[in-house]
Amino acid sequence: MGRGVSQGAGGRLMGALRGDRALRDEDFERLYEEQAAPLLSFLALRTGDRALAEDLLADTFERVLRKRATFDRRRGSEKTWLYSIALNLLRDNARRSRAGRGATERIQFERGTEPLSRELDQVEDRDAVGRVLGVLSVEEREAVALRFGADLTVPEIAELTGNSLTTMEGRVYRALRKLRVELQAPDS
Amino acid sequence: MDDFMERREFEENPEDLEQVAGWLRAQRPEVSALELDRIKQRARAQAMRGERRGAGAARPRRAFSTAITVAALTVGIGGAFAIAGQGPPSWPHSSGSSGGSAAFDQYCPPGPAGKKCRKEREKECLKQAERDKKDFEQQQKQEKKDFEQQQKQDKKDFLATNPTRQQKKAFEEQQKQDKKDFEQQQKQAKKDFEKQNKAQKKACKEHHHHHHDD
Repeated sequence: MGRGVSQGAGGRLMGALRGDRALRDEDFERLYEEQAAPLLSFLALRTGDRALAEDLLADTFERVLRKRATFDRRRGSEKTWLYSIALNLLRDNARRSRAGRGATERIQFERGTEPLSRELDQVEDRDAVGRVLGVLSVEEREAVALRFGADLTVPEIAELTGNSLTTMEGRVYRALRKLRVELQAPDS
Repeated sequence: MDDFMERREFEENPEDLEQVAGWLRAQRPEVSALELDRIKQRARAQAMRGERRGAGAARPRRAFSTAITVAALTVGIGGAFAIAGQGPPSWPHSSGSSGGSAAFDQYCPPGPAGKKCRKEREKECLKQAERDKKDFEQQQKQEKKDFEQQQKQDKKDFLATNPTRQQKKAFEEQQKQDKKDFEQQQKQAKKDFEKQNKAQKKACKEHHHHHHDD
């Protein structure tokens, strides 16, 4: 079979058991190497909390390890599977955490007339980032975090979230417009 | 922006939105290889703890026995037991690797003198394929039972956390989806097994006839 040869009898046996469609040990390593950093970026942008993002990253890959035998390549890519696990964990976390509400509360700013580039430079600290992103709905924040945090393409996001391409394009576009307005506002 | 910028005509200046996109990208956290490695080790440790926690007394045995059955069909009976670190059983050959033929020839003399021996081997080979099939069916039954028990236990644990009606609904939907996925996997595994089992039986006969013709 030629898979998992360095893992001892048990590892080789399980490698044979998993078959070609499942996720092998070496696949896990590759997936982690390729996707851990972008996934962390997505989680950090989505939650606004670096420590929580790291927790969720570890939880996501824990679930990948535990469920890798059930992964079926015919049903979607590894990347889509990975992000769907992360999204489920995010939703579970949001359901459990009442405290999370505060981070997503919308905070209104007064609008200003400063050029956008200057305003971008002014928004430096994480609280300010959180406030700016706070104008977005959960769905919009998720969309921009996937698009610009994880660098997923819009078609990939559409597939992952089960929405149409048009819906996702519109969502990302609306989110960017909202953010632009927010970024142009004077820093309160 | 690239892909969707190309697809959509913006009523406003796209450069402004590009700046926003650039700002979003700039908010990505910096993470070192060391930190990522630490998170990976944590994920591995959590997975190991989780597997130990989730495994019942019968589970490792079942997993091992299932592994033997399926690996036997994947890499060949003899190969599977070699992988498992045990000696091959007494059956003559398998459908998978070439190791089966060697075992067959080892026990039966070539030519007409070995005809009876090969017939017996063929019969034994077919019997083994049937036993494998029964074992597989038994394994699937046991896996289903374990899965249902696990879901029952998970639900019990979840309800103990006093969830809201909405949380309960979401949990139930998730379990329903998990069950659907599990059933789909079993169905596919059965389909794959049946295909291999059929090939195994065919190989039993072909092997016999091949030697008979010699």
